[in-house]
Amino acid sequence: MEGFKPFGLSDVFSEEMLSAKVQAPVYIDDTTLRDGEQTAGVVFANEEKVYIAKMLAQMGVHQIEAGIPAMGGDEKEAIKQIVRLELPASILAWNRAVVEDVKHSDDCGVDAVAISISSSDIHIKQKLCHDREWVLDSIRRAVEFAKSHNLYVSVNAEDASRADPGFLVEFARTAREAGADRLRYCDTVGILDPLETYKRVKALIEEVDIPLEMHTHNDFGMATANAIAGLKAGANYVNTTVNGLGERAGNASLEELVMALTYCEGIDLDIRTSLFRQLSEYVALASGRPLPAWKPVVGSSLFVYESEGRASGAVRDPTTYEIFLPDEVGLPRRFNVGKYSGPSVVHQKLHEYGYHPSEEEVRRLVPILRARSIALKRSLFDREVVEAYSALTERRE
Amino acid sequence: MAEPRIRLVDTTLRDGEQAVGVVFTPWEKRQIATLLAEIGVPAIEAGFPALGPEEKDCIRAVVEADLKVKVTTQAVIASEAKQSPSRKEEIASSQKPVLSEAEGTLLAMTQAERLQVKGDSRALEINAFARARREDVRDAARCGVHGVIISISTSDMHIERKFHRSRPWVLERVEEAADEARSQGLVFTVSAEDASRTDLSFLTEYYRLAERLGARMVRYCDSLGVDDPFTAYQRIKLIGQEISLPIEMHMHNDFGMATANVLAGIRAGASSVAASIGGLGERTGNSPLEEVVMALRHLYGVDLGIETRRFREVSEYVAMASQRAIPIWKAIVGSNVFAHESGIHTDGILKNPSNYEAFSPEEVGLQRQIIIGKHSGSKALIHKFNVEFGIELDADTASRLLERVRATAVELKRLLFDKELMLLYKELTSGVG
Repeated sequence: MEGFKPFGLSDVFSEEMLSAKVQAPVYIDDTTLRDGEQTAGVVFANEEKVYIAKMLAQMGVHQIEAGIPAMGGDEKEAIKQIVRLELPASILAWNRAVVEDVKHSDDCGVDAVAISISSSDIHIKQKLCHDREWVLDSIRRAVEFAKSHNLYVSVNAEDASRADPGFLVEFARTAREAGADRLRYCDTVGILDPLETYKRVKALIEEVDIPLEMHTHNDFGMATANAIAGLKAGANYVNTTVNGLGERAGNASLEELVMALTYCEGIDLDIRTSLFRQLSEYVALASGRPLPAWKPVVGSSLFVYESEGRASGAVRDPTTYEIFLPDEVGLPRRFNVGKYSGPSVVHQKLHEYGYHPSEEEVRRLVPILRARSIALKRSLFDREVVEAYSALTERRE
Repeated sequence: MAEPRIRLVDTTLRDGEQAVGVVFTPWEKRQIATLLAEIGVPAIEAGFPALGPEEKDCIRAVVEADLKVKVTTQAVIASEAKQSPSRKEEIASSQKPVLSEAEGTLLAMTQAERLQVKGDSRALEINAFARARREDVRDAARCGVHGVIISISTSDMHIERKFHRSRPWVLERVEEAADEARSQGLVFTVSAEDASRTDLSFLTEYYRLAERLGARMVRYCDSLGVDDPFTAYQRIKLIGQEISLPIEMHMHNDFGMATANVLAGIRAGASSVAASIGGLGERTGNSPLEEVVMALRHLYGVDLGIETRRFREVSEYVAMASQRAIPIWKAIVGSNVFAHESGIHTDGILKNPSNYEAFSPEEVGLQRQIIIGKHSGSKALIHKFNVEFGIELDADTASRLLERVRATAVELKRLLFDKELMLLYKELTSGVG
């Protein structure tokens, strides 16, 4: 890959780095309405955008990236509508590092802007067809304009993960000196792993005094982990999307990030997580991208117990297999009989329907139900379990 | 320092099938095993024999297929050569391991050795899963598998609340099961379920016992997906200092970090990965095999010799058999991960794909698509009309057409089909509409 040197598998890391903790405060800037909508094939209607913004604000998300005003058409109208709601969240609009773009944002009445430009030589040469100095000038002009209009400014370093580290420092300093309030570190192509993310973000923070935001992509399945690594290194802002919606394989997903922060890192953001499932379903519908049953945090099958190993623990004590309770994310807990089910699930299921089978009955029923599930190539409906039990007991009588 | 040698074991047929509602027929299990062997995966977990006679039949069907693992470095070299001729030489001259063999005798092969085995093949290693019980191990032996994964929970949480037992009881169980495996002539891996929530000193005691009992490998299970890459790294590093057996990573995706955790473990010295196609597995699933393989190749420069051009095909088969469609945005194999719509990205892609692609779509059996929709720019339109329809759009027409395209995409709430684009173009150029 151009502009990229593979990481050493046998690198050694300091104890300080490995035991680093995420430090509060952590602010969430959700970009479902911008990077999410930018996904090939996704278009939100304006009323959907407004609804999603309302839900995000109600949930306690700190900042909402509402769209790209310079796109014209209906886009500005949607952003204006969101601004008019006076939600308890900052509303940010996305811009290229062009004064004209920022004017469109200012028209919409937003309180914050992201000013985005590539920081890697690959992009600067092959996409922008300019040089580094031109990039820095563009930043200065756009940021100064935005600051003179009293806007909160995030400068987005696009493709930061492939940028020359020295130039990235210069890029960040330029943004800082022009008055930017934070810098967004974008792993645009999703090519970092968490340990590398940490090293690079840490190095940048040590050089430049500017608050950092993480924007990570999921091309190798590591968006959430990379975002957390950046927070461990000292970033305080994180850019997420509902369901991880976003270009290609998507972004760090809001629900994964919030729950991972709470349960893996011990940082509680005070987000109303019980709305997660509802919001995820809404975004799935509006984006035309159905939610996989196995989606982390919000997938419908996460609290369904079928295999005996897990169910035998859960019937005694759900905490044996649940790090958080299903209510916390708006999901139900249920037991399902399938190929991998054993006595615990079968007993539990019959119990739910008011039966009190003996151990012997359950023992005989398990292979019968397993054979059925195998023959039908699916889990069984509750009705089928109850009927098999009735058939067994009738036969005996 | 020698490159780390990494072994893959695919668990689609075991942990994958444990996903809610998923049932594979014996024929499907055999097909999946065949595909895995064909793309060069050296080892699989084929199932859980203790479940009963039907499952034993499934596993026997896989064993009896007598599958050979294809060694496929040729394919990799060919696909990469397409991107850059110099890369071909680089790969050909590298001394990286291309094949990992069963049983921990993992050989890094030199180019000369690799040429010798090219076109050659060796048996797909088939493992069965067993709880730490003699009868489970015997069930596995009856299926004719090569190896068995002996598994039991090691966390106090599970030992106390699930088993209502104590740590010594866990150790006894493993001893018995290992004894059974030895007498059945099976190689065995000792697996610690819920290892990530296990007290580290007990975990190393458990693994040291496994070493004394003759295990060929130990498995670290993050059964609930609660590790983060930093803790995973630290724990694996510490375990590696206490034992000399290879360590296998088996990580779940509850917080979306399975792949990152596996790779962190490898960076800390683990040398084996239990992964599944599409990450199929309990709850949120496991680390997806395709993500691990591609990350190793592209982020760490370690090529496992897997024929990745068939990833999409294998993923589609598993998706059909498991009745779980591949999300179009699934990392590595989703049909949309090489689809570009937004003006900025498309413009970048048209100038040079590496602006927004870490690897080329052909490498995983996908195609690049330029999609026209709400976020498209005029350059994408000009490109599409030129390349696909043979029509030269001037800048003015393109910008007027773009306005109509965006408005239509917003109204229809989706991307536009080629026919619709042509229609808009005709309306515009004939002055209609």
